[in-house]
Amino acid sequence: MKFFFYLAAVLVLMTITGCGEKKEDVSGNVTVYVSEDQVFSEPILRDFEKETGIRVNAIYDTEESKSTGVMNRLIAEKNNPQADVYWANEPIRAEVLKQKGISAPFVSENAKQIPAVFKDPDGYWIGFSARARVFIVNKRVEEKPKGITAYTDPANRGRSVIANPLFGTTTAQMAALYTVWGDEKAKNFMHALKQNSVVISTSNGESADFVAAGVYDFSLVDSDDAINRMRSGKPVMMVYPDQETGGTGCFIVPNAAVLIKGAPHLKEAEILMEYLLSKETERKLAFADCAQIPLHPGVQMPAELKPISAIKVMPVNYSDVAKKMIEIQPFLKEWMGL
Amino acid sequence: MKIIRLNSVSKFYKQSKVLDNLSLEIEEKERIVIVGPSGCGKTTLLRLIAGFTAPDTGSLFIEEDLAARDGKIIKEPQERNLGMVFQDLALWPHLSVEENIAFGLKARGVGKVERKERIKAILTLVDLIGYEKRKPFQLSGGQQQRVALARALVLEPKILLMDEPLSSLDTALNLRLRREIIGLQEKLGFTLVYVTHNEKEASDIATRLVKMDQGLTK
Amino acid sequence: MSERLFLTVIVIFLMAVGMSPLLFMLFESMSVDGHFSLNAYAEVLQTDRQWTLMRNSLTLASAVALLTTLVGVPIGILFGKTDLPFRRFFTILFVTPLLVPPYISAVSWSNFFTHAGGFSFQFLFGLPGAILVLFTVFLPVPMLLTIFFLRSIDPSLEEAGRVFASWGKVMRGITIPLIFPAIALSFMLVFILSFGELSVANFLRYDVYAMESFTQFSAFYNFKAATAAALPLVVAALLFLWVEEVFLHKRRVGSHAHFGREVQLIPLGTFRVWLFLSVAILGFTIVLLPLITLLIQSAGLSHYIDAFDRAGDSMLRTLLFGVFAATLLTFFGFFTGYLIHKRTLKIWRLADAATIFLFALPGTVIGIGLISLWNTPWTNFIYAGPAIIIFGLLAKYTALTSKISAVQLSQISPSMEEAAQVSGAGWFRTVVFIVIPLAWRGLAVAWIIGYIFSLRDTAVTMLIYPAGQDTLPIRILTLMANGSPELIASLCVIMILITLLPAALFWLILKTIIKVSP
Repeated sequence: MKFFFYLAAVLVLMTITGCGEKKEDVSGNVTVYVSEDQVFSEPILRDFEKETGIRVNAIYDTEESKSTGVMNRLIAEKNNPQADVYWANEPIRAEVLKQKGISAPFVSENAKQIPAVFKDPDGYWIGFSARARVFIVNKRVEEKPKGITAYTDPANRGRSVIANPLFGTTTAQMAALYTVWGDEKAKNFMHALKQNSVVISTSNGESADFVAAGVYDFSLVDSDDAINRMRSGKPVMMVYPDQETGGTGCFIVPNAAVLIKGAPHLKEAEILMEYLLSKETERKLAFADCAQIPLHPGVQMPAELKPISAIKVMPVNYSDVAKKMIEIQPFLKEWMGL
Repeated sequence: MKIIRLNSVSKFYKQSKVLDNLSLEIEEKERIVIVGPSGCGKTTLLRLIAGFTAPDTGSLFIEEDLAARDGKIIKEPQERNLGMVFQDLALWPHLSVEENIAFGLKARGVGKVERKERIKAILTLVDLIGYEKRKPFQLSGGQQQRVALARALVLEPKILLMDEPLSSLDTALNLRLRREIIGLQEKLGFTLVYVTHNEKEASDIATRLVKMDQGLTK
Repeated sequence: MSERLFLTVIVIFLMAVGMSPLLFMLFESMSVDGHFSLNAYAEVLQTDRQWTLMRNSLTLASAVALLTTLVGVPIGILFGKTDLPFRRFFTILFVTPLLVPPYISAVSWSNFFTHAGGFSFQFLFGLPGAILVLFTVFLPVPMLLTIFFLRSIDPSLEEAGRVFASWGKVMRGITIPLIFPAIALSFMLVFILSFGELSVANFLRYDVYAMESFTQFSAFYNFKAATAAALPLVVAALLFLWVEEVFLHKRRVGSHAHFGREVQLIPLGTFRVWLFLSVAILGFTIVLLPLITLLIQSAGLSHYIDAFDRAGDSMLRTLLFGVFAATLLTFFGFFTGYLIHKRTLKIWRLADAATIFLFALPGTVIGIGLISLWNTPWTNFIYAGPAIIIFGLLAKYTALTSKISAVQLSQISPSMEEAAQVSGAGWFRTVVFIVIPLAWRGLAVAWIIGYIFSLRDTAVTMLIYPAGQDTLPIRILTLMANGSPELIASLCVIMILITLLPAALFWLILKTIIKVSP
């Protein structure tokens, strides 16, 4: 009967695409879910394959649903984990995973020199290669913004842009401000943004493009967005916000390596975790287009980057930020909807 | 033997009664013609005998075997050993004349050699030798009619059902085919159940005439 | 008996694949700590924002459906029924936007406007832009359906009218009423497609309802709220089932298949040149401009080498999945279509409703449902392999192939099957040797549509593809995050080729193998 023919055909397909590939396995394989941009993360994972002979099966996040598609899968798959490692592009969602009991603690040899502020004290996530939340500023602007409050300066009314705070690193930054400033001040700041006609864009990339095109004067973006536009010769510059003594400091967003609880390939997962947390990976990510700041001391980096020790870092507890982020979601949503 | 027997058969469509408590017995080798105006239920009667539909109440026997009763088909059409010529002929357009005729033989598991012989014999009978490879739309109306007849008769059915088969033909052709149908019936000895609204056609063909009106035989 | 049994198995299989994950989700969303609760629903439905979003969605979907129908039906008539020069080329040209994931169209339009030099750049963002992009994407739907239906009209019906009336009057009085089901069907299809589409609206910053459920998943990790937010989408889907029931089922085309007769072409006469120019200008503006932007951006061999290096494996997989999914979609679509047409089983209505419902539901919801049902240690062999993608595509798109089959089957005289039955053929033999050959054109269209939709799907696939086994549209999406625009543009061009070439090849092969005309 035809039905069985097709059923057989599906099985054949599964064999071709699935099992066929397993023949290459020299020393096992590892499944990793990745929120860091595929353009930057895939070369690292390919190098890992070459150096260790362990095959990597990866699922990447998309730009528009950044950290959501993959996160949802991790949560939905909780009862029967498919992933071994989660490469988060920021620690907040790693915190959510910890709270939901999806990740497992991991003690890393390689990460010992990474400052404690960028690591979960129990090892449920470990930070590496970071982005900084910086201002991208069009060069023709005379009065460069110095701190985040430039957004609420009436002089800049309607001249600034920020990515949708419901998504990505912008959400994290807002939550971080809540933890540093306290709810009242942060909420007032949000309202002031609106009163000062700050434009909302769909992504940091779009904000950077707006500023590069001179549509708006400045925007908070990720450091890689700014460096990218600078490298392609756009008339923009990068400003680390709130660096003055007593200032809030610059919000740092490290990548985070997370070991998944019940990982089907534990041994390979541990090898991959150490690989991601090595100095060599940090060096590669610093020289790649994403220009991420190494967290290990003494790693080579391109000239545009300031070493982490030279940046005044916003003192946050990422666990508090994660909790605050969930707490302020209804407010942010309402804020966006109005 | 009563080759077809209908016992108090009724059939409804939505609210209206198409067949009303109808009883009819058909003898072997009869040429029975059911005549009546459009919508009188004669096509429904034919479809009932063919097995495409079941009587809502009453029962139907074919060759003394129960074929359908009270809304339930007991023998499927393909198990009733009858042939049918449809009003629109229903020649399969994607199959040649030969393939149209061979289809039923294949379905009944007739071997290739025998199949060839029987197709040749039936085509000789309906005078269509030389047209084997043609597709139905490459034939004239009369020729299509004969293919439909050949397709039904090649299975050597005991009963042949014909639903207004000649209604779309011109008078001359109509008259000629009437004679051919009678000739074939006499030669092959099947029972013919023929439905038409044309009284002249009916009395020409019939050995027994059944008039129908509003679901009742008269 | 075998007929009923077989069709029952088909329906049960589709229900297991498509509906059971949703019922599972529904059950989950209504239980709080083991107790029945509707809190999640109450919360979602009580906010004003939901209703604003709903209004936005309805506005967008009706505008797109109306516009595409108004333009698509006349274009379909021009291409399928007149002696317009290059009509075949135009048909292919206008279909291309449907072949690529809609967000690619949105991206290329925004690229175009950026390149064109800020020409009221902002106009694209918001309702007008969303309408424009979705209009170009879905215009082929009414166009193709119109062409397809025109082919199946008995030419003698038109000839009968031509005896005493001009072509214009025949079109108005006979042909267009005969293709009314196609018009209604395409309106409904475009409406549902636009209603569930969120990638374009998201990119162009127009808030739509389908986004709400997605946001609940993405920003809040709240499965219950997300399921609840999907509820109005369920209601919308049901509403359309009802509309379809009332308007479409009563207006089935009465004519049957017509082989061996050429479609009568309408001579355009003096209008020929003007209509040709208008169509050419329209095609250039809505299809070629964004396409040219893509081509210019991707120009250069090195970009294509980079593209193959980064996504070569995905391309191969996409082809494989597409062919497989299309074949299965045609298989299941044909038999559900057959059931819906013949109504052999009482559950035909359920099968019809369920497939349309799944089609109208945003892919994200189906994806999450499939994960929650299939991701268990016992069903890992399905979840961790490509089978889960096939399941997802079957769940989402069977409605398309089923509708096409049902429409095609309604054009075949029932006596064709009855004649086979009295000839002593069982049901399988009748279906294989009589019904399928008679319906081949519809089945070929179903396959191609199934192929295209499987290929361009992102919403379902994105959530369930097994690690390391993504498809090209997904790879494009993931590479779009900071990937160079040149790389993305070349991948989009490759994507268009992968879709168009096999579909065209398939059509040509079928045309040569099956000779139905003299």
